Amino acid sequence: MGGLVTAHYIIGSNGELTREKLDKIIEVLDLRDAAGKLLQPPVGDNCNYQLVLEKGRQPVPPTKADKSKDNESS
Amino acid sequence: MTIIEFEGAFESKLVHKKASALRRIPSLDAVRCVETAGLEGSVCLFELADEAAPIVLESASGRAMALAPGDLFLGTPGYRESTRWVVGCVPSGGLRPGGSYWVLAESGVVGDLLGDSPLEKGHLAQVTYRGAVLSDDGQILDLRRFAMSSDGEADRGAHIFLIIGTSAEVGKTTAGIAVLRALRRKGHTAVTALKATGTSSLTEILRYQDFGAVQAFDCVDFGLPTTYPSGRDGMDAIFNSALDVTLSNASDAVVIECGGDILGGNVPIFLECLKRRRTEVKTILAAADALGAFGAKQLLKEMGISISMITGPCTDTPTLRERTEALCGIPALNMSRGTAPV
Repeated sequence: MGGLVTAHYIIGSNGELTREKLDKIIEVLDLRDAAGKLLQPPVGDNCNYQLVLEKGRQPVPPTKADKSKDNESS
Repeated sequence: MTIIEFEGAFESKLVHKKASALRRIPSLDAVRCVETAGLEGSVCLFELADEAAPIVLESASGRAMALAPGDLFLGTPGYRESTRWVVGCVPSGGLRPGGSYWVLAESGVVGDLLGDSPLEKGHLAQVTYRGAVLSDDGQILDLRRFAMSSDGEADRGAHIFLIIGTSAEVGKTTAGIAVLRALRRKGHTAVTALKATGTSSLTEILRYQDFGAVQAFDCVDFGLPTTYPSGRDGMDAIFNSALDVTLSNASDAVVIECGGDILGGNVPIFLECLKRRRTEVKTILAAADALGAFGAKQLLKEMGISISMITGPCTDTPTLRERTEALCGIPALNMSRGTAPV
């Protein structure tokens, strides 16, 4: 006992998995696309939100004016 | 400097160290202690002896936090039955003020030491129990008061990927994160992780968040520092609460890791609770060797669970991977590395 041990565990392969290996996992586990499965927007810190603004019926990307308006309101 | 009050008598000492098992307990302006029995899940004050060597615990933020000789810190009494690390328990009647106990886990679980493996542990040291910490309303602070509940939210029907292992340290979290990454590669942006059984470790569940889980939970979120001892009463309610919260979280896939082995930490009870929620679960087994994988396959079959994939050290070399696959008749894949060296 005693002495400092600061490393806890080696977890999660340190990101060394290749795309090919991930594709193999997808194949073996028969993972399906997520499209259409999500019932509600995700919550939490690590979510990916796709920003779509609608004007009339046409989705348009945010303009500089929109961005500056957002900044003002925040 | 925090003032410690022991039933009317004041002491000026610094208490700014809180172990990760207490991460759900709000910050305290002052630590008011009462000399009473320390029970599982209670917020308790401990002291590392002046002559002790420094030890390392996991802090409430998840960092490796050194405890210097003479330090006071907040932890909690608890049980541990690790297959690879430490075994200990809360003595009957709880911890006795002034008594000497052992830090059983990095997350700040303290109790009697029953045994440990030869592996080096940065946390294992004797500490003195000083007392239980009171809230402003005079009640002893306890993990259960801060446990999560689903508030009746409905199960969202997300696909479940279950990771189980033949032992600790066989690559369950590695497998869980590989599955998480594969799900994200297939466009699943909202994946929730649950470490359902074993000893709480913030480092482990933060690792899931680092790799893209929207939320990750473990037993501390549901009121317990660990899910030991095996066969204890009341685990159905804890596991059902954990499943209520996890399955009602907004996500399109859920990765559940059972810490420890298949037999300990009340894993069989958890699996029964899970089977009542879902008939379709994809199960990934992490095993140390081919024979362990074969034994686990037989055991899980008796429990009504079939395995979709095998991983872990039993897939580390081509020889062992092929033997595992042939013996079990299940695809075996190494998830800790990319392509195998040629």
